[in-house]
Amino acid sequence: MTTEEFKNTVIPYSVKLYPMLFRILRNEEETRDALQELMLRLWNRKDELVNCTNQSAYIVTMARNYSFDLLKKKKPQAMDEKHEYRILNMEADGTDSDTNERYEKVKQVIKDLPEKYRTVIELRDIDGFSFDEIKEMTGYEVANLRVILSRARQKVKEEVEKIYDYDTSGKYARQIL
Amino acid sequence: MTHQENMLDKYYRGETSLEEEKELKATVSESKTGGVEKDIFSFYEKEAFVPEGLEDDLFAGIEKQVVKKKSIRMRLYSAVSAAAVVLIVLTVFLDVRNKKQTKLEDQFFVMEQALFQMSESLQPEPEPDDMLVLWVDDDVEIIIN
Repeated sequence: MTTEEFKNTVIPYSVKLYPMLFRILRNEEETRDALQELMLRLWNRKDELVNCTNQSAYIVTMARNYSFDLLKKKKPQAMDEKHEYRILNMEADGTDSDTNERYEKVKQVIKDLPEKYRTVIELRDIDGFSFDEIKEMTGYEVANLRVILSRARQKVKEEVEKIYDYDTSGKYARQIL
Repeated sequence: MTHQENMLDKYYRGETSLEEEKELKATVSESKTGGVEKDIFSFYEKEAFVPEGLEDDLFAGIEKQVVKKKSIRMRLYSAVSAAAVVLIVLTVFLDVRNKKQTKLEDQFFVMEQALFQMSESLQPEPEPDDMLVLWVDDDVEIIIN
């Protein structure tokens, strides 16, 4: 595998892997370094990767094992300044003034989901992994994953609707006290 | 039921493809009316943030590693080549020196032999021992020194 082939087939996975690793590390610099390390590991195993029948599964499995390693080493850490700045300045991009508050509420709802639901919904709706890739990561069958995802999505909707009173036109009116 | 409602229904059943979800999220985010999905999708979008130029930076890191490895390999080859050259030069030098020494030894041996021969030729013939032959027969010889 040449560097160009690696660039075209493996590097694009970073778009999905970055948010996944960021959820563990909560720091942009550390996430970049961790992702670079993961890419180097994949590059060093490029011969195995070429001979592999399911490259996607290979990459995802390696990423999963690597994230488990990170989780073991991880120390409790607050959100880094860059990320915090980005969240706090969401209003600057023209969205509503209470975007930050709603962001935190949805975040809390997802955090409170049962682990199985949370993992699947994060891998699908945030990272954008396919069902086959999520199957490689979690071990759940695709049919089962669809059920878990469906329940998780409905649960998130219900919980957010409990916090905010959305009128029939779809526009939220006020926070339910 | 509108197309968006249909898609949302499919989304909540976990039956949408990644492309459909991408399209649905974009449509909901762009809609002027808010709603529970707008807040949820907005959260997902923020959480899926990826720094600009990430892929290029990662690729640059890989290329750096490749160049570094090549450089280490080249240095190793250079060291091995230098060692081989030294070994060849040393072998040739020792061989020449050995041959030179052998030649000198041969010359010395030839000279030694010549001197020995000369010395032999200069030596007077040894005088025959005085012997008194008393009896010589087919079977018996009687000699007195």
